[in-house]
Amino acid sequence: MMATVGVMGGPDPATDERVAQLDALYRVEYVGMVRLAYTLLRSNAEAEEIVQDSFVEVYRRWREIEKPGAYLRCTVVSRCRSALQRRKMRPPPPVDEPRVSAPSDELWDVLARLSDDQRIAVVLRYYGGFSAQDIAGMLETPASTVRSHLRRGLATLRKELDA
Amino acid sequence: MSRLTDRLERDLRDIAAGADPSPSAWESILTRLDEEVEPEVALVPGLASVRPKRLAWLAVAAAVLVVIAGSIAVFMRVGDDESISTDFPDLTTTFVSPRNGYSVNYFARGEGTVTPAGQLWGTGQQGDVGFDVVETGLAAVFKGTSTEPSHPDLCFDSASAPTPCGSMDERIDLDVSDGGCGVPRSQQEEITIDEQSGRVAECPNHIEATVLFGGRLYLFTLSHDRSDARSVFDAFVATIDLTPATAVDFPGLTKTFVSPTYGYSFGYIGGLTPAKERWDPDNQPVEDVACRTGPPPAGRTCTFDPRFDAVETGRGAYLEGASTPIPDGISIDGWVDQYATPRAVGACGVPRSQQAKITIDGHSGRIAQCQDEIDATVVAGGRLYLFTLYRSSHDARKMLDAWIATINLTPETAAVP
Repeated sequence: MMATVGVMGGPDPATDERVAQLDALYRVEYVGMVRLAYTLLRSNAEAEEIVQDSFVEVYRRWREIEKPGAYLRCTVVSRCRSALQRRKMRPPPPVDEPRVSAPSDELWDVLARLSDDQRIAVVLRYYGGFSAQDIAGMLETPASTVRSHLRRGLATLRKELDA
Repeated sequence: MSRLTDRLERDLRDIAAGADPSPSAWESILTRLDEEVEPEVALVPGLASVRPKRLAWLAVAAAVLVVIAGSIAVFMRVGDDESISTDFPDLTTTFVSPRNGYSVNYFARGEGTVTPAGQLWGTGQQGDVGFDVVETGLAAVFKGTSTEPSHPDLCFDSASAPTPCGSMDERIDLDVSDGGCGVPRSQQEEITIDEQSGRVAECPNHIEATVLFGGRLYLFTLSHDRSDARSVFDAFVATIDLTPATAVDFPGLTKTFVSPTYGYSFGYIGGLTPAKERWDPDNQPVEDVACRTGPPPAGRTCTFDPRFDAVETGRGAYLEGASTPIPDGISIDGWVDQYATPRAVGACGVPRSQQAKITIDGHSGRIAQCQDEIDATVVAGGRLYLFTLYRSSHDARKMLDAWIATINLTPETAAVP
């Protein structure tokens, strides 16, 4: 059973309940979120750090948010987007040694040449299975822009993978 | 489903399978909650027995942090009466944007801290290339850019389709189509930037502010992973000076043209028309076939001057270049005035000997700036080079300098007449 202690000493039922809800969210979403972040970043350490930070963020804002799962996904995607932006400004962390087959290595190389938003849109669409409208919500971007990212990203992938 | 999307789904699943989620992640999250979340909600399930000891340590650490924070806190002036406190380092080094018409302070932590914009904001799909980017190395990236706001009668949506123009806020919402954190500008919080009233929006890991001044729309953003991000953003904003008169609206010259005829290369953007005839000012009458200075001569139509390599930038600028061997036994300045750049003398009335000096690819030359036209001449390897910019804008000289900086003179490669 989970023990919960308020910092001022006594148990806090409200906090206890919130942790239980976060735990439930964790059991449902954690592995999937790490895999999603890893697919964008290909760094297990970075992916885990981002997802764990995102759970902390969800906990902080628990009272304000209506859909913790959706908020968690938005936060993870937003932080991955920031991580990709930061990589342009400094040497990226080493990507993990591939544990996958050669064809996916080739795909990874091509994905890395897409713009950040194109890459995110493609991964969310074809790995996450999200609609353009869902992705638009996560990227805080019009759906038409997401569709444009997808169209351009797929065009590049088709050209590069066929070459 | 296409072969491509089939493969995408399969390979992305393979990549995702390479992730290795830690089995102790939940404990890590709880520890972070204990350490990072505000005290009244801190908790350590399963660690209750160590709570008193941990609390004591946290209390000592918190006290030490308070002392340290108090001693290093940065107090920056905002307006007349307010000050902002943040544990961010002093922003003491000034970055003057070469393109976007503002300056901002940052703290220098070595080379590469600031990457100036290399292109117009909104030009193509170049990511951050339209932004000046300040990488702090402290989980915060500050960016700034500016542009002329969309024309009040020409508005387009994010898919570039014509759309009715609304209020200035609505037009800015269109200009910053991916921004605003989803909040229309008219509903955003107010912010003051260099004494101008603007708007600011905050969303997870991102803050952005827009302000209109001097006919320009400025956008400043902070991408971050900090709990004090707004204070950091405000600290940057407090140092901003808006100088719209220094902004430039010409694009980066990203393509390179190597002249097969005249012995030079230069950067350009837009449409290029290489010279089709040889420039021979000694034996050719001065004729404004391009109608740059007036209507076409009787019986003629306007055309590119076929003797010049010409660039139509599509951004209100027209570039020309050519070179020619210098005859023996002449005075360079007098010969240039009489034959090579009579337009410059005519328009500006400044003989070459009295023109301002300029350096082109290491060679000293002269420059004559007239209304809507700048002529630069330089001698290298026995050839006279003439580069002309036609542009009626306050940033014409800056654009010429940007163009000149891309020029390489290679007289040894010029075609022999």
